[in-house]
Amino acid sequence: MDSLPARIELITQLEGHDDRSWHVAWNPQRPILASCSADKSVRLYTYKSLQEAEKASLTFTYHTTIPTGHGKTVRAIAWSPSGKTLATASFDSNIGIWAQDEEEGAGVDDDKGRSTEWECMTLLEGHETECKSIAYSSSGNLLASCSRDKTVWVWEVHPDYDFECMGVLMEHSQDVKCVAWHPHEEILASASYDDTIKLYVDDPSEDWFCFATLTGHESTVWALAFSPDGRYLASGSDDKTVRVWERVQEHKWECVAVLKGHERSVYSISWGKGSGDGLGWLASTGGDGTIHIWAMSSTAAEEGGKSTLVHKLIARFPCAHDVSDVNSVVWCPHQGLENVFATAGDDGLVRVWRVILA
Amino acid sequence: MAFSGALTLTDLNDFITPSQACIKPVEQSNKVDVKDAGSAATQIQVDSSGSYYEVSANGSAPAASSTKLETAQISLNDCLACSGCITSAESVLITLQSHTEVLNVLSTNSDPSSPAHRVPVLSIAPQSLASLAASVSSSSAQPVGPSRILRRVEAFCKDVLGFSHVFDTTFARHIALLEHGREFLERRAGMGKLPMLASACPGWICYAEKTHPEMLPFISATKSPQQVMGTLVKEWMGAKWGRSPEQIYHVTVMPCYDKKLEASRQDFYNEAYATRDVDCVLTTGELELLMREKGWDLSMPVGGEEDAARRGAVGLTGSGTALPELIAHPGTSSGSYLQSLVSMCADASPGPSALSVRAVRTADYEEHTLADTGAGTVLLRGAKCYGFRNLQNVVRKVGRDAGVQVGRGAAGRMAAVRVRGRPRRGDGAAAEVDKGYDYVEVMACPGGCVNGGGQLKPAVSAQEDAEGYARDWAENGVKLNTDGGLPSSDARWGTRGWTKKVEEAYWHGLPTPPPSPGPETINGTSGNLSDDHQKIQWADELASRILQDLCQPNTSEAIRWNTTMDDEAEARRRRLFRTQYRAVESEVNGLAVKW
Amino acid sequence: MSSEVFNPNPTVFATARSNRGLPAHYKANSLWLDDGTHDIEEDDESNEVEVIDQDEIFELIRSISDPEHRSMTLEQLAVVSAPQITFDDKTPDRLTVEFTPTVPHCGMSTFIGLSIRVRLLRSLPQRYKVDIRVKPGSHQSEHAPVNKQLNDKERVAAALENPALLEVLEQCLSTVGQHPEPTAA
Repeated sequence: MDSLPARIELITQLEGHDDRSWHVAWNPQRPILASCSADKSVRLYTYKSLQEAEKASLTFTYHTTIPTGHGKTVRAIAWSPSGKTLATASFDSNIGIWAQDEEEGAGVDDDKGRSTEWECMTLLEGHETECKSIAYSSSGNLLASCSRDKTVWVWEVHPDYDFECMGVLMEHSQDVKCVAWHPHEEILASASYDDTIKLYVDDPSEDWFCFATLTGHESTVWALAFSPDGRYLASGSDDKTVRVWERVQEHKWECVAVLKGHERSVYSISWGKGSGDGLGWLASTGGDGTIHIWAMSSTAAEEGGKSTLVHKLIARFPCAHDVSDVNSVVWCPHQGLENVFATAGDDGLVRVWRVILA
Repeated sequence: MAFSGALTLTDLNDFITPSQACIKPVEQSNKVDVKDAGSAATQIQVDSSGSYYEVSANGSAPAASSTKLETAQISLNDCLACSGCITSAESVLITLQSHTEVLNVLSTNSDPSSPAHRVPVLSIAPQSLASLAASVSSSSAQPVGPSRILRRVEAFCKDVLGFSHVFDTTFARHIALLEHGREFLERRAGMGKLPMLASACPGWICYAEKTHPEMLPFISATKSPQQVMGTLVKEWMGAKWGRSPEQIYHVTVMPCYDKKLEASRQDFYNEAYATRDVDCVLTTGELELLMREKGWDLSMPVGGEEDAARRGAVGLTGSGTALPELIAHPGTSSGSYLQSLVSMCADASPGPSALSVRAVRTADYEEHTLADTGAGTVLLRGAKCYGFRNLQNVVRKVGRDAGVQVGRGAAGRMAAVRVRGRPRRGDGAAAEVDKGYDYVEVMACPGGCVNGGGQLKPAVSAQEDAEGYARDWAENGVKLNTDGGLPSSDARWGTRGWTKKVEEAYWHGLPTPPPSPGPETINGTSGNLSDDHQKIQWADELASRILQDLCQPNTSEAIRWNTTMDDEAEARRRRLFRTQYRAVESEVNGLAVKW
Repeated sequence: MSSEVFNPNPTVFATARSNRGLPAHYKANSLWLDDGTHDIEEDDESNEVEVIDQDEIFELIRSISDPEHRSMTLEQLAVVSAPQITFDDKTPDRLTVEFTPTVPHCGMSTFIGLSIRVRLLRSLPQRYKVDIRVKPGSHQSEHAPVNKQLNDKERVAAALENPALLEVLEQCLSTVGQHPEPTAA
């Protein structure tokens, strides 16, 4: 185990949630890290990075808490690509849309104590039961959500925090656990308690529809992550595996790898750019409390044949939140911080880590 | 963007579907016996008839030591009172609303001379006729229109089943549209909220009562055509025939399963006579099944069906109960509610007016704006909105424009959602555009009632024909129901192509504009045949006469539908032609919670 | 129809006398009620990780009330028993609790499983990872759906935020630690 080519090092630990922490999200534009919890709140942290030689030093500062007002657990959060809007998905079945009043000026990076209160601009209702996951499309024009009510909803984002429902997709036969958008196309993926993954696109003259169902997992699919280049989709499951699906045709995806090693459910995966060339780094974690980092690459295509996906475990960290389950792992999206990721655990903590190549 | 053939979207899946299993709690009545360890354990056995017995584990003879257990029963009324699922759809027990029930009642009916005899009456919706017409046409050289189908259904119901009377429901719809227009004017005058939302779709009503109670004040209180028909048959015709309401057995044929729920509502139960306005609702598919079981071939002509205009030409016939048949109401195949208001407002406008129609993304969401061409002022701003997705947006829009919070309270309301005013536009015209709707024709099914859940389905097969109608329907489509059960959920939704065929059949031979009229000047009735005009005139006059008969206004003068009568007569009108809605509270039985 | 009475006349089994001396906190009405700060680990004077055995786990769940027959405990109805509690040989913090619904098609299975799950969640140190399963062969329908639901932490977490469900759950858990007199002489 110690012969792995990289190690995982704790940068900091962010405390404050009174209950299980479910999810973390890095603001794509501004240096903010958000976390949500069963305590119904969202906590925001700002961070500064100082480049010192080879090693970036990162310092985190508590910024604010959004009490949210959700009646139940805030299960998931998502930043819009602009970084100005935060969406919260709650077990109370609603979605909150949060932003700072722009007229009051000042961004969050104004740390001079100016009021930068986050307000609920809109409440999206429609799900009948717990909302489990939420995601903005890469353009920021679409928002997807899913719920135990078996549906996936696609909302179009309009100006002035207005939303129009573009589709209610009733394809899964069970609880839908996760939604994820393709990194640059309008392809939506959803993962479910029914052990399947479904992929959807919009028919401009009609409605959103499911064009593919990916089967192979033997239990609940908890998590989804597209590769940064969009050619692959990874999924984490209660069957303790991570599967990787390759886009072999425009509308056809096939399983090309099964990553094993976790001893309990895989609750979260994240596919970041990582360091070096290749297809990036895939992080996975779950009920066994262990973080795995896989370097993903592909062999060069030979003689007109297709390339083959190669995965290699480069780092492993057990008991990442001591005895607790780890519910979320997310890579930092910022340039220069590709080796940094955050985790959220049942202990209510958020931890920030970095991967260091030996 | 073009999709490959394999990716062509053929299924309409934007329906409201039940999302939960039934959660109706059943009371516990048995007591617990405490036994010593080692005493006989009990088991539950199910016998061939489906009854449950509790037997001791070591008792081999069920008859000796078994106790029959009560079977849980769920009626449609339980469904209406429960918030467990969103709509019943067809999966809920419908034993009291089935075609076998109809056969039972008819076969056990007393002799017509007996006072216990119930006069069997059947009323069929025009969308059901269209569905039957489309299926018959798909396997015949010549298209067969709804009027011929009505003759054939009538022959079947009278000659084979023994019904005394067979009607279509378009005259009831005519009355519903008149009362609906009247209600709209009342709301415009400040008596009630705008926008008014259509109420003919029971799926939408059920959904609103269970999840959007804040929408109820906006929903039109006018009865649906089915329930107006119930009133006409039981109250008006019954009086003409010298029969009290319970002496009539009224069956309707509808394109929609949820119409069964509508008929079962407490509001449509007559306490005094212990009877419902509509005793039993069959879907189009169930009628078709009934015909097949009785060996009736709907593709065979019946005598006299050529005389399609016969009923239309009967004219006023004194005190008879003949109704004008298949009245064409221009607009949509889901009842033309919006168009009837557009026509009403255009007629009321002193100057010329123009209607503009804008499709929002698909034909299932259209905005209709009627403007005075001279002054440029907007006379009516309406929308047609079909399918679950569009319904969501209408609920959001209406809630926002009217300043009411949407969603059920139990969902855990956010304490501090910021109240944001709609942005002010600079010039008046733009602000005008931004105003809310006056009326929305809401239907839960994409494509509207022609695509109802109870309609006949084209065959679901992997044939190349994505349109789904060029096949031999008798060979394929009919077989969906051969097991006598309900079609599977996979098979029940039609294809778009098939829905289009039904839509065409609906308008077959009718001198009406297409269902979605383009920009054009409205000049009252848009039909161009005097026959049609005559039928409408007859319908108007008959409606007035019925109003007079049923409401008994305290006046000797002739009244029109829009006449305001004395208070007592108006109260009778409300009782007869309006209804009410109520929010359904959530269950709070912890053991019944699905998690 | 989940609250239909599935087993109106269950067989009641004699309970064993508690066969070991219990620390006082075990008998506290419910550990999580006294402000949730005490768990077994913290109550230990020393900070040593004490290994919890089969009997101790059984003590925690034996007196949970049956949801349909509130005067009965899961032990009296033979829904739970000590031998049905097993530990992972390699990882002693991982254990499996099997339970036996009173009748083959017991619609209450998920609820009973949930009450066991919640009792253990609230009283065991966090390091314990518990799997709860219907005893194989005891459930008429495939027990996989029940097992899957009981071991989905998200579903369980959401269930515990449902006030109506929680109310019944608390009632069934209010008897834990109280052992009725054995019914067999």
